[in-house]
Amino acid sequence: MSLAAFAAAQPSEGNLRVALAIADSASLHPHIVTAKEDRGIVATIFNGLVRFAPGDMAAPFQPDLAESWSASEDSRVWTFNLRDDAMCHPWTNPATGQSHPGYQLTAADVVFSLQSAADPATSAYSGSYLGMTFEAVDDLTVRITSEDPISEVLFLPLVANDSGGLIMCQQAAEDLGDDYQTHPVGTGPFVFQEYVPREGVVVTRNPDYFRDPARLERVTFTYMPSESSRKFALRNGEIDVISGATQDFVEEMRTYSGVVVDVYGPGQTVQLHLNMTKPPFDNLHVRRAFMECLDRDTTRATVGIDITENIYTLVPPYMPGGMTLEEVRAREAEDGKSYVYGRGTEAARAELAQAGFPDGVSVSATMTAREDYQSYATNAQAQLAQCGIDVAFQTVDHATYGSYRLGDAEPIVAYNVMRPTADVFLTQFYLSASIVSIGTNPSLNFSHIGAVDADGDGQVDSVDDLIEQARVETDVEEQVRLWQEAQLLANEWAVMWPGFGFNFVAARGENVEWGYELKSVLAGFPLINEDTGFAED
Amino acid sequence: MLTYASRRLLLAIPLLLVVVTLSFFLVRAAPSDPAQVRLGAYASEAAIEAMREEMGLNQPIWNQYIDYMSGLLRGDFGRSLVNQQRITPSLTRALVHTLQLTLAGMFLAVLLGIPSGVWTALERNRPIDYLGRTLSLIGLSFPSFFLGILLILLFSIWLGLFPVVGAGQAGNLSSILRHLFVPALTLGLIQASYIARVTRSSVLNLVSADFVRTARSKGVRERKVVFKHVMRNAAISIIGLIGLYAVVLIGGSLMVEIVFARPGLGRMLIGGLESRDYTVLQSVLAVYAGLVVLFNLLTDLVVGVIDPRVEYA
Repeated sequence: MSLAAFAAAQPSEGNLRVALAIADSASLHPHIVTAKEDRGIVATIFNGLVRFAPGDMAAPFQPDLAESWSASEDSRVWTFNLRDDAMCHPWTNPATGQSHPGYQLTAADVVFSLQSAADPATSAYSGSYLGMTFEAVDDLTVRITSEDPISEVLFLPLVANDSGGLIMCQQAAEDLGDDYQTHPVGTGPFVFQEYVPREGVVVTRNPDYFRDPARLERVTFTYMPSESSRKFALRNGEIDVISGATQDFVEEMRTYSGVVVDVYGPGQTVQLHLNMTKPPFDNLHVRRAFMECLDRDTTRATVGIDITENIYTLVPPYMPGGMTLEEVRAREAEDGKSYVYGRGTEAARAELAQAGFPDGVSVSATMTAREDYQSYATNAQAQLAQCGIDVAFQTVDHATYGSYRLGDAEPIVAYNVMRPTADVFLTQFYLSASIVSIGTNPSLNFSHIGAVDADGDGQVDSVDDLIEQARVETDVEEQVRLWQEAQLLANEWAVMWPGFGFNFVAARGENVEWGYELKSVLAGFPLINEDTGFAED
Repeated sequence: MLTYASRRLLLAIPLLLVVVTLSFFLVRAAPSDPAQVRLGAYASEAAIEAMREEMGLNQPIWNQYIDYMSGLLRGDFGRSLVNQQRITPSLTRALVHTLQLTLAGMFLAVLLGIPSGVWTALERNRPIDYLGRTLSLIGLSFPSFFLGILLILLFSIWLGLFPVVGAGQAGNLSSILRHLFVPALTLGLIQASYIARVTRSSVLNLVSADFVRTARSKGVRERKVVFKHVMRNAAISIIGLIGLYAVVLIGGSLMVEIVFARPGLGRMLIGGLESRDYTVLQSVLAVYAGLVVLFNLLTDLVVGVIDPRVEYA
């Protein structure tokens, strides 16, 4: 494909044309990509040792590069038996012009890849692999040893077909060096062909794929940051798949004939974190007033009922460790405490009066200009004003906002987030070591749980023990119970408003078939795999 | 004239140096950095620090500046901090797309703006004049992204005549022109409004001038009066304006490139801004500055050719 020809080819050529809502790829290195669009590209090129069931991340894991796997009794040693017909794609080194044939993937490649995923210098996901060692027992056997016991719920996502679990081919990675960033080589159903900055990426069918060869001959990803352009291009037949983000998008796309709309999970959870070191949120009753005031359904109505669902804890209910409304209500009744809130203006004003602010409070905070944040932030701001909590948002661009909220300067932090496991959620947001900017391993603990008195009894309150016990608990039921306890405590302390989950949205031509039922994709972008194709095929 | 042009180009060098230096430091003053944006909030501090080291962001800023400037003096814009691609080839491709769009937009603006400006001036205070002035006012009031969407609806969705997105297939003139028409019209219609208004007022000033009255009193035909005496004099201010708006058009192309998904300088700038890709940002800004200098110089030279009063001292 020649330069600037993205989006020009015809679907009859077996070319799926996908518009990406970004201006360019930050990287195509599987262990560095974080944007869902980039993850959608690399998902076509790479495999994991195991894979999420296509279209349903809640279903049991399936074999991928590994035919089978087992864990030691103490859940510290995991052994994977690789299939013998997985081939690394051929590649050409752009610096030397030298072409290399594909070769059989072995345990050495897997060990190299996992070591790379665990290395902070080469991976954005290195923190997930701390304390793990990797060895090739023989050409087709890989052993992974963890310092601590680790349950299947926590371990398998680390070696599945997403993020650090995507397996790179060692010879290609070493040969390409820095160019691997833009010339990814894997074992997946599609082979990387071309990346043109700010234009797009082309991948083509891998004839040597260990499953059936892909139905599609090629996939053309085109960068198209303007949503209106993507919509027009889909309507005009120039693009087959586009992504959206809003209820308006869903409703508009549903009015067009020949267009199918997909709303799928796991989406991103919307959270408002309250910084307990910043007045007035150092006062438990002010925080509770904040929680009592916000009505999820009102906020959801402005954002879009079709694309959202309520959540009540940090971990969403469809993930092990998350809780449904019924489960949280049951615990409220059992414990005689409040975990959900949202009782309205009067309850909020009563809490403010109890806090010593009968006339209300004022807070200044920064907010990103990004539409998905603005849609709920402005609604929350209006609701809070009615309760006597006057929030003045200063709007900045998203990169700037990212920098501000990591600087520990904000009393209220909005965060739209998805993480692969409850442990990652809790470790990043509630562990004391993760306190933003100043923790021993600073991450996203914006509320400062673990460093301040959260319940007003004069003692520092923490959920560290619960998180750390859960991490090494191999009994899944007990592990889930520990995770839930940690979240209920945080809810009791009113440190974070778990608002709702934003589902992902995509629209496609009616002749495009994913090849599976699209319920949820961890990467956030619909998986294009060997079963994806056109209805005419 | 050659001496004049050479001197102007030499004088542009310190100006460009100032722009490049300012952009170098200003982009680094923005909150956040490319390592943070690239790895996202999931990454550990160690990973972000390692990425900063790899990107060279931990080097003293003066070292970064000297590295960048020495590359620039060799005509090398360096590599993107984010994806490690060489910037010069990307910049060249993007520049071609932007110049295509800008020049085509300017062509359409001149094609539509000058005749309508002359016509409305000659029909002063008649219905054609009112209509022309109203239309140009509407044109001046339209944001380019909104007009672009309306034109997509008209030409691509309802009439099905032109594609919506992209810049066409390289080497295929028909494909390039088909992809160029609607975005160029978007830019051109707005600029045509400016040109029409300036043309109208220039022509109105001249039609009552002594030399025009003299020409008419000598029995020169009206068409000759307009084209030879009025337009030749009006052209000086119109060309000056076109030169000025060529620069505005380059800036205006940014939104049009976003709407039509054209991979030009505007897209490159926005992408660089989102990812805090310092080297890409400062390179695009340097090219924009160079284009401004170049267009201003060309305008001065063309005005000198058509206006004998201008002397190249």
